[in-house]
Amino acid sequence: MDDSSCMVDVAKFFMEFCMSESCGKCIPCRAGTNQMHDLLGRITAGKASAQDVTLLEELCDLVMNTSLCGLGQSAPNPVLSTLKYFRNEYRAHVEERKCPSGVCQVETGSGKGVEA
Amino acid sequence: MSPAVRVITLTMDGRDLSARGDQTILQVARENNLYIPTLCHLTGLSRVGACRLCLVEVKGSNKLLPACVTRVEEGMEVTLSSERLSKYRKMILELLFAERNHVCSVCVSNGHCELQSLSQTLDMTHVHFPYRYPRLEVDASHNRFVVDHNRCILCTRCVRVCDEIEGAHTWDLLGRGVNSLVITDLRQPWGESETCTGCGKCIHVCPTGALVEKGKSVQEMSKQRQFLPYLTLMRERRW
Repeated sequence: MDDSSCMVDVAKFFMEFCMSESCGKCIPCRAGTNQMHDLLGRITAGKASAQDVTLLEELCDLVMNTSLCGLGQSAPNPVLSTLKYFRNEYRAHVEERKCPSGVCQVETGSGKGVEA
Repeated sequence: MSPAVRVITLTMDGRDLSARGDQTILQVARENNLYIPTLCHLTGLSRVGACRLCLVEVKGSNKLLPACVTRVEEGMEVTLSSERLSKYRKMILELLFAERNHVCSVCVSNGHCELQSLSQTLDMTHVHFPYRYPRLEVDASHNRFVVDHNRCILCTRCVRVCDEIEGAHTWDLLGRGVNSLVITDLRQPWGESETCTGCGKCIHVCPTGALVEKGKSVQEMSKQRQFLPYLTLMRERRW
């Protein structure tokens, strides 16, 4: 992993793992990881607003503190870490609709493989 | 009460209470008319601690503890309601509403639904999450009952009552995560289930309109749960 990796995309990758590994017993992990994955998908697609990032942070707090087992309790960690150290990348996706590393297929902007 | 069980004292929301050492926080709170919201819990069925609505704060623990499965301890200081807890409880309800298709206005359980009444009690006014609108099937193959997965919250009450009270274990869970479904037998249509006795207990423990009787219209499906405390009492080993 280096500067050619998009940290939002990395967070989405880990969230996809947690979502598919969630057993579905407790509500915050079952529905929370799914919502977080969808939100990260919207951010990487350049369709998210600043409120979506706030919502994502609230979900992180909920899932971390209310999940039944260790999977749910640790599921938000990749999001929290990337938000802590690479918040500018989230900002670029949301405000400028750009993926700084060119990994994400952002709707408008200079993302890789985007037409017009 | 067995002589081995000690009587202990604790505080809940600042109130001094005494309780038996083998009780849970939820049992003690209910005995003393203190409110803790629950959704998966039903007295008479085994406890799963899955809905996370009964989470409470306990002094000295950095984690929130589910009241339905946590035993009381001497000197425990429990907080049943706080700004943080009510925020989490509301968000959990919002997640449930966004997860499947809960449309009260067309639901047979409208007015008799635990999800609906909890949302009113806990002041859940908005759903901040995008609705997922999954397309889930409705199984009406049974001649008396219907299962509508769109209204299921996966509390597993039906699974537990069928296994523990009726002893048939017709219901179980299929899949994992958001794709979980309650199923009859090995996912046969309910009407073709060989183990279902048609007792209807699952219908009446279901907190929402996911399991209902046929022929009920909007608002008409009220649940009758008297059998559960009655059967629990009759089956207790006392002699």
